[in-house]
Amino acid sequence: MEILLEFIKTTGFFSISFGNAIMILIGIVFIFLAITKDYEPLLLVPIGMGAIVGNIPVIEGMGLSVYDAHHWITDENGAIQYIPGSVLSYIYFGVSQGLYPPLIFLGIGAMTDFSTMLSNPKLILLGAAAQVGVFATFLGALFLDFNFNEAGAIGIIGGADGPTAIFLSSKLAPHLLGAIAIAAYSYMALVPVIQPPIMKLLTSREERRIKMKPPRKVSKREKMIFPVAAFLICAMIAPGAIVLLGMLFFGNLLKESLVTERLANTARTAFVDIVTILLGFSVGASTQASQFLQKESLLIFGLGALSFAVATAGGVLFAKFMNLFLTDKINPLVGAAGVSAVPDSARVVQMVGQQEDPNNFLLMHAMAPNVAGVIGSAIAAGVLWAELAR
Amino acid sequence: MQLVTVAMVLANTILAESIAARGIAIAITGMAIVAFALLLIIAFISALPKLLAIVERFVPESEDPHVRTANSQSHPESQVADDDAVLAAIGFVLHSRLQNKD
Repeated sequence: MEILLEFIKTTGFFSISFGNAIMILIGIVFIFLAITKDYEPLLLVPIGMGAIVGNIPVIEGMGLSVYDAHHWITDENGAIQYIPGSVLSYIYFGVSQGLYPPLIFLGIGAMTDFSTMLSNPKLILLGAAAQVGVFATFLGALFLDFNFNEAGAIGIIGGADGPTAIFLSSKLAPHLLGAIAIAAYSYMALVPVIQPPIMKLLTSREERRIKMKPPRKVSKREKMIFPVAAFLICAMIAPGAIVLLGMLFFGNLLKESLVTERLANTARTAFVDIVTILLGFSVGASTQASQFLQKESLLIFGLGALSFAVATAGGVLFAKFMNLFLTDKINPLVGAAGVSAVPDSARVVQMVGQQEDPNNFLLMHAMAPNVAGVIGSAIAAGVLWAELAR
Repeated sequence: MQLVTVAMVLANTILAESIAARGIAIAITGMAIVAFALLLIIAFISALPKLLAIVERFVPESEDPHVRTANSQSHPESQVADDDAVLAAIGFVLHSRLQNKD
């Protein structure tokens, strides 16, 4: 009987806290949204399940959580003993040390076609303009009494790029990593909800109906040369971005070189899927109530929403500004795709554009600022890391 | 006592101002660096067709072994992904024909 009572004390039912229950509920909501609304299911299902797993109360000293990392202790005889970490802590190692984000970038690079960007390079400016969200949020976070490193990590949520956000927070503010990752991925999933009202508010009906010239054909040589040249340009200017951009352009070179199709195929399919599973699940498992349900997390979520809104507005307004000087006008909706969130924000541009004119196909054009936004946010992360880690 | 309070308020104001000043400086510099890097990429992409036109005079793209290989799809590495699709298509046509015969 005593053994049974002792066992009951170790069960989740006995030691679950209110916070754990809330986090488990949030995990279930994520899975529900992914399945029923199709919001970023490849991310929200692993994160949601991870949140459920991470919030089952663990037995003291059993080493089950992601935070039970391996360590050394000195025993009473003065001998140093190695204490192995939990299984989840080893999976989480890839998040905490920033290993997974560059690997995901490799897969993204192998999937990305830069043709539309190469055919209409002026659209790259929209990817730069949308980065205003990153730096505005950085200032907002400073205003809310976060320190510089924390503000930098929070600001990058505005880049709308989950791997970049995880990478930078693992370097600058590891204690906020869970909240920042969840905020970044949640808002990425909510791109179809957040962006359209802002896009419609800032554009007139005529502007939304602007048809853009079809992109020119890009030669194979251009596509082969671009990843190496673009990497050199970016890395020389912002060396902090070499890990992310190096992998992104390496993946793209595998695709465009045309002689490593097998490697490119692996990078964009099984490889990126495996890393996404490990990253999503372990980020979810890191959202333990005791670590996650803090005042800071709420502020991060608020700032994250603000950064998405500012980034979207920045891209749209800059497109309108460019139109003042251009003869071939840009549809300002395309500017909203500068926030990255590949390819969801480009799809949103297409959707909003077609609501005004079903014969207007903006997806191809929106992909240019979309991929430029990925490059821009990685550069922004590199700049913030270099400036703040000193 | 009042002097200490005034000094503390002043110190806090100066500190807040210096944090704000550094923050604004980082934000403006960061934005400028991102814009500069992307402007350089734009410049490079705009110049690339002209550079390639010069290269084309000496090494035509049709004679480039990699590009030619890609066009003819004869490189063994490039065939890997397509083989399955071709086989699936052949299989589908055969299956349809055989079903029609029955």
